[in-house]
Amino acid sequence: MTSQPTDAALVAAARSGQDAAFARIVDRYQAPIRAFLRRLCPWEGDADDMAQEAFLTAWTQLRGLRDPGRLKPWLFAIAWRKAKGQARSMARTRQRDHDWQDMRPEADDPQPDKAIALGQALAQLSPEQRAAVSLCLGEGWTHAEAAGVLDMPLGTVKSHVLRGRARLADILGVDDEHA
Amino acid sequence: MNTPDPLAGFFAADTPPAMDRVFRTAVMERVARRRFQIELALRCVATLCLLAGLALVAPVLQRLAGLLGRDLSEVLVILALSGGIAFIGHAWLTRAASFEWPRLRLF
Repeated sequence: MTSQPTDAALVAAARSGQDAAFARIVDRYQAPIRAFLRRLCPWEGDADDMAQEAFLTAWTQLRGLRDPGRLKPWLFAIAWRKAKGQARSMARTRQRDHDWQDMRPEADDPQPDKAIALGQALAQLSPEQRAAVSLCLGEGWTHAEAAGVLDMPLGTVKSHVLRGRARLADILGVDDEHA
Repeated sequence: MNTPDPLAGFFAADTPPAMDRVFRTAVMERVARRRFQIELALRCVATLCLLAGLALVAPVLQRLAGLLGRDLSEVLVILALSGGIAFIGHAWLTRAASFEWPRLRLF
């Protein structure tokens, strides 16, 4: 049985210039980071591009990471800042991309119905609500962890999750007893 | 007993694959490009600093060359000739069957 290196070990190796270690960090966190950004951004291509940018920023700022054991929330915080920063520019290109999507004969990567429904429902929430709901419901983070990543007060995150959850349940037609 | 979260199924359906080599390759390409840009910028700065330093000490060097040039010129010629002969001799003694020009490596 091979033991997986810890985040701290991978960060130390990546800091010493080992690209293979950074590639393992990418492998380890690409799925949750991309899922988080896809929920914030309706276009998968934009979200994945932002995820690549987030990992590039992480590589550039890796020496600034104080606690290598907290790599995951640090990566999510970078992704959230990217999403906030690029939201405006992406809004300008959204219509163009939408037109292009309509022109495609068939989707390259057909999504399951649930994913499409979720995407459409999330689009009706504010970016902050989407981020809070994605972290707490999608990734299973606690409100406190999400507050740290999103740089918001704990009460605000709780409010975003509560309202976002109720809205999602309403739009998706789900009987939500957890709300 | 806890009932399963009805919204969790929607979020689970929206998760990218756990392993995506295309995505990893794209990130590592960007990393390599960024590293090249950083190294290029650092080398440009180092070159500018070197040129600035040389420009600062140029008057002193010119003066020294003027003062010592006549006395050292014969010694420098002998040293240059000796070095040249030694280089050619070394190349002759260690010659290989096929000659390879040294590779030009920027980094």
